[in-house]
Amino acid sequence: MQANRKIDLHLLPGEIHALLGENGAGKTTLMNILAGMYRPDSGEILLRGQAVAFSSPQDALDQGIGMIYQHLMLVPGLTVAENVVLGSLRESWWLRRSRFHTAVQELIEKYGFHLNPEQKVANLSLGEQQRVEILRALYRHSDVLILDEPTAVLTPGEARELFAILRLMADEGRAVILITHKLNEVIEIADRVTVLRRGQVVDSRLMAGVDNKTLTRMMIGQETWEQEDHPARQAGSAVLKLDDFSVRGDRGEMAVKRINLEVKSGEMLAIAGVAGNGQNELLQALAGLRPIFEGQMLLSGQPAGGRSVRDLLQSGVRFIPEDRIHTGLVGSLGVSDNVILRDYFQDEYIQGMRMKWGRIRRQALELVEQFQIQCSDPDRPARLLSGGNLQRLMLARELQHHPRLLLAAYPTRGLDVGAVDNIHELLNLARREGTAILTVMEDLEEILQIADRVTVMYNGMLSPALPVTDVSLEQVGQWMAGIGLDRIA
Amino acid sequence: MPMHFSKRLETSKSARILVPFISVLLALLAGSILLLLYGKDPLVVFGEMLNSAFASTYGISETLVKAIPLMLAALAISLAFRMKLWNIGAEGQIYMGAFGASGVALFFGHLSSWILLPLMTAAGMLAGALWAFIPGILRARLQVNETFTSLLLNYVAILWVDYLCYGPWKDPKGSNFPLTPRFPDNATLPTMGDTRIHLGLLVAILLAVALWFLIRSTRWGFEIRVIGESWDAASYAGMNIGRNIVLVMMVSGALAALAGVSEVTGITHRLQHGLSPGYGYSAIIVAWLARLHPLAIIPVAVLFGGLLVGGYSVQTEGVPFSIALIIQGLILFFLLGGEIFVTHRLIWKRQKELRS
Repeated sequence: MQANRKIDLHLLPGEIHALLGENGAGKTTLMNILAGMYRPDSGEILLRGQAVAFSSPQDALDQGIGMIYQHLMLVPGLTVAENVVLGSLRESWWLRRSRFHTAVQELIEKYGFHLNPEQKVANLSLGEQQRVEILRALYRHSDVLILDEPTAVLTPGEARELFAILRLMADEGRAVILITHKLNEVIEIADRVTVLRRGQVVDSRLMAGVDNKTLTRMMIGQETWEQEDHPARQAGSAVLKLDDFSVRGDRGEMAVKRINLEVKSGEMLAIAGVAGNGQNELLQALAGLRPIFEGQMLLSGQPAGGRSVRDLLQSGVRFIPEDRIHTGLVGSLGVSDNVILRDYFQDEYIQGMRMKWGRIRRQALELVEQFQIQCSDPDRPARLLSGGNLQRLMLARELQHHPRLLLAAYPTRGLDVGAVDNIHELLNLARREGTAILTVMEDLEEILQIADRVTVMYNGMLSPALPVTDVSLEQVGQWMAGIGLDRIA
Repeated sequence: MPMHFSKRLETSKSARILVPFISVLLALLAGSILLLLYGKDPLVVFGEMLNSAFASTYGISETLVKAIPLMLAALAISLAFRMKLWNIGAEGQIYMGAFGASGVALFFGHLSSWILLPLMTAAGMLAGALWAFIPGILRARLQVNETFTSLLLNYVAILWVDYLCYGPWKDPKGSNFPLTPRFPDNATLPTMGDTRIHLGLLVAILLAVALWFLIRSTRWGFEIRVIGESWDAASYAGMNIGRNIVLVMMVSGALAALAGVSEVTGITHRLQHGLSPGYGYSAIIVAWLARLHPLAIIPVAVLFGGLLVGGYSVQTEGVPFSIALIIQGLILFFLLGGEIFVTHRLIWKRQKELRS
């Protein structure tokens, strides 16, 4: 797959350049090329007018490009100063502790970082650790700083401090690239924004006069949408109903905040919005994989909150998680094993003490045939399949029993056009058979093409759900940026 | 460097089979160098080891005697390792199994052997299971690394048995040796002919088949395999990971304890200091060399039993017994090193290509 296609990006000294795009738009790939992790298949990188090629991340760093990853790359057991100089000690065999301590101390004072060079990194907050990473880049005299979603791990206060530091860096003549998918951050700090979509630059402009709405439009792509003709569908009775439903995230924060929602049989409700606003937590809670904090979950009118994964599964709630290869499937096990991954305990697969492997294998072959999964041998490991085939395999497993409710997280992410169409067909088929589908998708165009109704999730809150024929881009854009949602919630 | 490793899409079947064999060969080769430095002819020494372990009825029977505890402990370890649960505590579990069985023999020795032996076995397995329960529950509830807890508990178990042998359970007529009184005859396992081969061999072979069936064909085996591959997928499949950790750990502990039970009932007929010369550690290498396959553990354990017997016998030639342990260690060393050929492909590259 091409993650990046013919990208032109101009980065000027003294500017903070935001790189905006959905997950999978190619932001991280692009930055990994700049940081020397990957090599471009074609094209050129010019640094200060000179064509350069990086053989390794170390090489890119030597030439002045400093990358600060989302998952910080520090050694917890070493001190701040040791982490800063790590990787740049090649010229000397001796560890001149006092010398580099002074150098690091000077840098800390110069930029007002409030760090103690003697302190162990393990004892620092995430915000402080990030500053250590920035120090490292400064110590190496990087004049290009790349930050990959730096605020994802920060509190709002820490994020503000980070932005002040970035501004200082830019004022000193460095170029700063901020990879993000948060519109507010772009507006707050960037001088220029480049939007990536499906691996291509769709727009690049100065931030003067750019607001939330403009950004949304740049991200979504089209001014007007082509409305597909939706056959008038008879939505049935409510399958899923949530009342004041709240869920906590991994760090104890309220990831889903008192939302209300209803999905009817034979209907597809799509949750739009920027990733990381509570969508995953919501689906996990509905599938029984995450405790519900408060509120009610009704499944065909019956209370279903607090029930186990297996219990929900038995009542016809099926789930397609975001992570295919480690959660939704077990890549190292065979296709047959994966076909029964969630149903292995059912009577039909067990006789006495034995698993009926012969029967399971036949069923795997049937599904492979029926869902057109390209797979030569159901005993071979699933991870050998392509992304589209993995997704079909997962859908085949989850749809074969005609579920009452299907929860699907990003069912088409990262797939090529043909595979996307095919997944859409499968979802449509399930819907026609009366399955209620609740899906999380990022691509608005796709949502309008396939869903019946759309709602936007922002910061754990949900907008009203509107039929896709009735939504305006303006409205969706505002909701995606959080405007008007506090009032509703 | 003119070569590099590139990840294979699919693990190599031939490498999976070849690596263990080549590891053994390389270990012998490296061992030869040591022997040469020691001033001994490796061919003579290895020949003598092979001879003493496999060339006579007595040799074979002693090899099998050593192989029994290795089989049982390796089977125990293979089950836990399947789930990527690193039970390094087989040694301690062996001692706890011996302790449990001995307690019953010493205090209920008057019972008939049809009741006594099953009772001893049950008590030993229970002791091993409870011993393994400690690292299991700590892992399941508090995410404490089971490698360390199970390893450290070994020393506790060994010292506990020592305490009993030096203290309260010491044989008053044992001229102050650290051992308990001999068990009554109805607390000992039947043996084969004149040899010391005891019923434990049959038990080990039956267990290997049972474990093979368990992993391959049962619902619990499927759960163990899935949990071993991915916790996220296992919770998604509705499996109870914590309960399985505790359960697998306890079953593993009970199986390892069987090795201790069979040693006291089949060989020593008493509890004594230094009951196991590290069977629980050697068994880790056995399990690994057999690629955790229960049936493959049987022949590999016999090979390792032979290595021990051979090691003892070459002492008369002036070669220290440690040679057997050194070769064991070298096998593991080459085996782990060779693992990269299973998952990776070695690619030779000319300097020129590399630079472009």
